[in-house]
Amino acid sequence: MSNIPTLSMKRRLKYVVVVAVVLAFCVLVGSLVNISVLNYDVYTGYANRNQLRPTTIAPTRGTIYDRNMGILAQSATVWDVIMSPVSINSEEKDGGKQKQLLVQGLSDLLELDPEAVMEKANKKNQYQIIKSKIEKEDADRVREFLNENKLNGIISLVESTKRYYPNSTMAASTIGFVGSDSQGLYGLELKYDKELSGTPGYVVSLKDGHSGNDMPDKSETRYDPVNGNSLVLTLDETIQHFLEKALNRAIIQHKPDKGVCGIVMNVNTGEVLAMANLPSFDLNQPYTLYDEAEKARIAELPEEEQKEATSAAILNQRINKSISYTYQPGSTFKTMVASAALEEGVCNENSSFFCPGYVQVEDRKMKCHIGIPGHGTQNFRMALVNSCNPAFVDIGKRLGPDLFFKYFQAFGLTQRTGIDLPGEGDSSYYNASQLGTVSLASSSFGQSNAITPIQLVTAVSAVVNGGYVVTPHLVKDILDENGNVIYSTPTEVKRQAISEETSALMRDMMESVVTEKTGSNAYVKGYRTGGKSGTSQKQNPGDKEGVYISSYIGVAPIDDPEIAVYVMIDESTSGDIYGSVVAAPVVTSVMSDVLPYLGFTPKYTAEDLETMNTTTPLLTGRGVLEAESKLSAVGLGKPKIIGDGATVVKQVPSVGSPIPKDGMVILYTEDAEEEMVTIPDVIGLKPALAQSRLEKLNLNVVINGSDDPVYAKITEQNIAKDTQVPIGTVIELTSVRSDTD
Amino acid sequence: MTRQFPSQGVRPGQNTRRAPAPKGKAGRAPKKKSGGLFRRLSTAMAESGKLDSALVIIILTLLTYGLIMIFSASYPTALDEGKSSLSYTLKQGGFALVGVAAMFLASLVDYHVYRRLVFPLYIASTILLILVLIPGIGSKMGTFARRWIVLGPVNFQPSEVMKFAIIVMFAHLVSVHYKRMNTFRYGVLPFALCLGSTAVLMMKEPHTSGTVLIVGIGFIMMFVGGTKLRWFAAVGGAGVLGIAGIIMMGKLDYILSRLGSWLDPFAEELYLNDGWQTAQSLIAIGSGGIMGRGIGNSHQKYYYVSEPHNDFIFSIICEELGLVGALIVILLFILFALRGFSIAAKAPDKFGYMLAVGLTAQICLQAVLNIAVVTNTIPNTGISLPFFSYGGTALLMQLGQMGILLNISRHSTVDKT
Repeated sequence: MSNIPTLSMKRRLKYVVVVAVVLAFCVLVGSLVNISVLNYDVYTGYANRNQLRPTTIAPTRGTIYDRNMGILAQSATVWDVIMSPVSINSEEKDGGKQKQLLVQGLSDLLELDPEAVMEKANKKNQYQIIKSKIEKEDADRVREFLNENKLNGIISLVESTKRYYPNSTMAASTIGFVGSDSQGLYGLELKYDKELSGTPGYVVSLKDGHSGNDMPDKSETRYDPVNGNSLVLTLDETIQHFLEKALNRAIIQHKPDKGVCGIVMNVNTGEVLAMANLPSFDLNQPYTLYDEAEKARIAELPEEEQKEATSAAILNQRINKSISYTYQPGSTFKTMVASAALEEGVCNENSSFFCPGYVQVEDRKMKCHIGIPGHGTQNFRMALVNSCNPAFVDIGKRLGPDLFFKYFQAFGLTQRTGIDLPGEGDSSYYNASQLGTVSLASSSFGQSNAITPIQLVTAVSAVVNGGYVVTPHLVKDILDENGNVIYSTPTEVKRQAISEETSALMRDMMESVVTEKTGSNAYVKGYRTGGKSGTSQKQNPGDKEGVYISSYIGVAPIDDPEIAVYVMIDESTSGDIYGSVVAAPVVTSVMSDVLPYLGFTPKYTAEDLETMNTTTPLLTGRGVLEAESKLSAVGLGKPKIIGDGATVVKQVPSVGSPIPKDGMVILYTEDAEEEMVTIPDVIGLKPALAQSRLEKLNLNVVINGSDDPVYAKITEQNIAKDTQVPIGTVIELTSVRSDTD
Repeated sequence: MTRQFPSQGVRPGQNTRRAPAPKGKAGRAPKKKSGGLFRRLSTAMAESGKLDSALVIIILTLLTYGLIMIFSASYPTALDEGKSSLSYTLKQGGFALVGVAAMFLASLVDYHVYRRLVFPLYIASTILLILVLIPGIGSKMGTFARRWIVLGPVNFQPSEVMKFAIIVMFAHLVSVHYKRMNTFRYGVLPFALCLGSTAVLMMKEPHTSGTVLIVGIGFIMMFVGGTKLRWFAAVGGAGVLGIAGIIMMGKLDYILSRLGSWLDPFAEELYLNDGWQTAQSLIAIGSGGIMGRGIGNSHQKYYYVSEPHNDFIFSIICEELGLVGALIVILLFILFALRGFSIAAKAPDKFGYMLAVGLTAQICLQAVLNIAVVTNTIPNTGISLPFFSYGGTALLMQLGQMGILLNISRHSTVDKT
């Protein structure tokens, strides 16, 4: 049949096309085997990288404790409120009812602007942050609202953490703070960020390729986070409080332009018990400017400069001067020079020096702070007590540049102390070859070289502790998330700068600094302390004319030193500038609080006991006679009795108040009226005069501080003038000895 | 059993001088026209030979397999679009039902009728290909190319119609010129004119993959029809020149980027753009391994593989059912090819023979090219997998054409058992 397909057609189909088709499919099978069998691992890897996207579970950041496990910084769970606007019923579906309910509910519960919430609700996506970091109470209320109105599909509460600093401003620049992702940004929070932050956990789940949502019904794998380690600081909340309390009083009294700072350190271990920089800032709001004076200054600036000035001021307010500020330490540095001279034998305790009130060094005439005619003839010990500049110029000359620098180095003043805080400052100094006659002379009384407060504290610690230069530190222990100690900072002795003998002699001489003057501002009743004040004129470019840094470093107990207390007042504006006047009373105040707190029993001298206070016993409800005998039992004299009754109904001061031994208690009987009196202004008076004036008004007077009859004057009264108080009230006065270094 | 075959003489012309055929069906047709549709159908069924049940089984298996995989691959997209998880599957299922009915109906229509319609069909297809280029008539359906004509709820690609028209036309031309197929004038020129004009129109849309498919089918039919091999070499040369021309015309960047993403779809600069589709397809196939993740368990269908129920459905099959599932698909297509070509081989005349070759080759070529694309054996181009990929009108036409193939099987010269 001619119409049937030709043989060639059939052959071409059978032997070529069919074979080609089968062959083509075989090639494809080869391709498939290559992909899904031979390269299975490769593509599974790609698939996993594609689909498995881990969601981080943030670990809980470790807690920062003080040495008694008081909480200084702690993280708590908070919640971010996330809305998925596309999940809200559309206008067509319910006329916008659900959206209205949602927006109203959320803005009421979270105190948000309803318009802003509505704007977010109108977005066409799945992720809008409504509010971040809400606390448990708010989160619970939001959850309840969601459950009641069946809105759980639209709003989710995502866990997050927030850092709380319960003491807000306490030790702020030391503790530091974290950023919004709980990353350490400042202070110990930054230094120990790795320890504190822990290791994040992950939820590995399958995500789609669109918006990264979870694929439905697919299992997930969870890797729990390892929570951060906690820090136990060497800081003691109570000592920190004592220090800040005393510093705050100094701020009120001396209104320093550049603030104050202070350090309390264990001289043997380098453990920092307190470290303060005031005015401080609130760690919970670290980006707010707190200094009112600074705010006022910025408000005066042209508007375009204000923002920048504010940022600069905020950066400035957190600076930890205790470790980062370098300054010329002044006379406090003489303790190191004296140690070096004794250690090297270029002087001994009895070496004699003459001070005519100045010293001529080459073409320079360097004045002694006392002025002409000077200290006259004095021995080595008195040269330190007098803080005599000409004497120390002589001592420095005897040491010579090489030995001078050798000890400068040995006391650790050329290197950072290595304290575990970020931002430690670098000292600037003349090295041995740079020290000429003039610079050696000025260096000898603490000028020319600039060091940080922590360097000074560490060096003075070495002077008194037997010569050992230790590394100051703030972290005592590191705890794992279960509270086990995984690391304890050991005491690190870098070197011995001076011998035990020299150190013992220095302790003795530093005690003389406190005891040689009557009514010294550094005298702490019941305790043996030593110390040295310093006053340095600020001469850096940018510094105003005639501004000073007043500092004092005290050591106690001086016979077996435990703590050093350092205080620095930067640019006092009260008129008083000497460290012995401005800073020493602060150290005394800190020590009077800290030494009993640390368990050192006071040993009062007869003189101390004479001026000691006692406390009032409970007298109300007793018979008058019984009251009188109770008073004499605690060493108080006859009370003043007002009224004719037989029973005491009221006593001033009330029970448990401190009252001087020679104080008088006022007792009222049933029929008596309370007598009032107006407080006068006694500031600036000599203590004795102030006391007699107040006692005439039937007030009880407690005077803290110097009782020097010639040089002391009242600097503070705890009840302001013109206040009406009942007679018998105890008024506390602070007296300070006008002094030089 | 001896059958009577329609004569080719329905159209008076070249071949009438060939053996006068016994009275064919065509001759009886006018009488039938007076009867009702049902009567005509039942008469047709009664008069037809037995259809190839093996091919029917293969087609229905492919179709069922396809629908199951459409469901698995499409539900994430459906849900995401806010539709029922079954929405794509039901729509495709509806077309499949209509398509199967159309297939059985078409299997009753004597395939010689297409020969009579060959010129109107070809001209109509050409007009459609021109119309689709006109904005307003042709639609881009959200893509970059104007390939669709939308008629109410349905849309179709004129190129699909043209593909069928070319198959019929080439079957006709071969059956007419089979003796002179070795000449240029008869064995090359008319075919080349058809393919050339179609290619020009389709590249205007543009529609490269469709053009490749049509040209491929055309070449297979020419080759089987007897065109001399050297002409293919010449056409190949012309093709190379053509490509060179395209490159000259400034499409070099486009082509190079295609080549780049073919050679290494995971390259860093390509992965997130040009290489994405191919890379995701490979990941799906590769991570399926030998046994697959299990039906319904594809990960890549969650917006990694683009349109997982469409051109890339094969990669989802591989991911869920593994190499095994893929081999079953390939095996079904090979069986289909063998069955289709065997129907051709048993066709009673040259037109039927060539028609069957064209229809079978069309499905095979499309399947080969699709799988080659998803496995990155060839550069990425949009070709759907017959019986699997989502697309109602395309499926309807495929099944209708299978009806024609089945009708040819009814005319088999060899008895089936």
